[in-house]
Amino acid sequence: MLERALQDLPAEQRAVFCLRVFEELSYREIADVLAISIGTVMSRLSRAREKLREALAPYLAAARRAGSEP
Amino acid sequence: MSAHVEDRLSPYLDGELSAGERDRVESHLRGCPSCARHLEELRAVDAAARALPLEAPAGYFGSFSGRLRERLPQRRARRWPAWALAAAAGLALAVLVPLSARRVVSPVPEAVKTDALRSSTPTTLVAASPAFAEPPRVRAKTAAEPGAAPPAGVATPVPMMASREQLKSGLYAQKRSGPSAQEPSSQAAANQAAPPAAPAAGPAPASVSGAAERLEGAEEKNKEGPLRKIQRDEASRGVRTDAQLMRADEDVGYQSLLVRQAGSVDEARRLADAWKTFAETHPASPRADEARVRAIEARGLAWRLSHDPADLDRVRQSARAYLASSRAPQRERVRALLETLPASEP
Repeated sequence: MLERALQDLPAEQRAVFCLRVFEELSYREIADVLAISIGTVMSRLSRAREKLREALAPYLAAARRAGSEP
Repeated sequence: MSAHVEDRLSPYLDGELSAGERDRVESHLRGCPSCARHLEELRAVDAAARALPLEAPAGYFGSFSGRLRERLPQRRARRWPAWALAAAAGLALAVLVPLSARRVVSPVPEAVKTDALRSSTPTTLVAASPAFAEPPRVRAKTAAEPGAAPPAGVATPVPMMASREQLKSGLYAQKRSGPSAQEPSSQAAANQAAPPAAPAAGPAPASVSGAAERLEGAEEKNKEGPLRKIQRDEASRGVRTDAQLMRADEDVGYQSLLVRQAGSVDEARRLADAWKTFAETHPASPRADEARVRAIEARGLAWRLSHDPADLDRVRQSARAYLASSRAPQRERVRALLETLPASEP
């Protein structure tokens, strides 16, 4: 599910997400590698995370329900 | 209550906000359960992604990992083997979210917490998810994380800048020499596949973002001669011109699958799925056929490792579907594979 959502991201968003989350680059490093501005890194990453969050929404909701049970 | 801060949560999570902005976000989070929950969900997304049991997802991932490896500190070069130990994403989510959801009531104080959560002790997490029990990745960054941008002890900006051209030229070299030199025809498809970029919304100041798009567009196209100006102009108007990036994405996706090894049933099944996805995602690629065949072979491997009749059914079905298709240049290879399988019941 998440893997699929990750692959479905636009390439430019996936690149930023992967560099941040998997390679753990800072925004400055990502900006340098991709030759884009930090502002663009920020906005692409935000969009990528939002899409992944939407893709995982059912799981997040279920986990939240499970977590709120005593 | 102050305005919601959803659009600042991602950089907040990464510790990339200025002190002033961070204070504003934290102040808002203390009084806004909705934004606090949003933040926890984003955090869960990251955690789940990190726990994906992949060596490298198809796409940029492998590309950047490979090309950056020489320039990255060793801690990053070791990232991939650690991934092999990660549990299924679902597990990490199921474990992480209930815990983090409870913390909504006491909003998260600082971004560093993500790292604390991952790399230090919370025993339930560590015990329940191998993703968190991986041999401690060297996390030099943890110490540097509270500060925003360029963390100490990682690649310095200068080499980064110096080698950016190398990175780009590597990309071009790969594209030019790769077997899928399907130049103009794939451009339309790639453009179609690439959703139009949203106008630089969000936090990026328009001027900065616009400049970046121009720079990016120019660098992507710097081998294209006369097209360059047009594309730069398009980029400056917000029109995406990343056909080449999409093609590079296909290249590295393919190559990252080629080097992927399947040593267990699950890995073989995932590899089969990944090849299938590649073939479906790039139907016009000259590599699509090879991907289809490799998907069948990986499924065959899954069956040999599992002896699960469901795997046997799937490998038979996919092999027969391939043989029945009008375009099956590797018919013999698939037929040979099919013959190694046990005779099917009448």
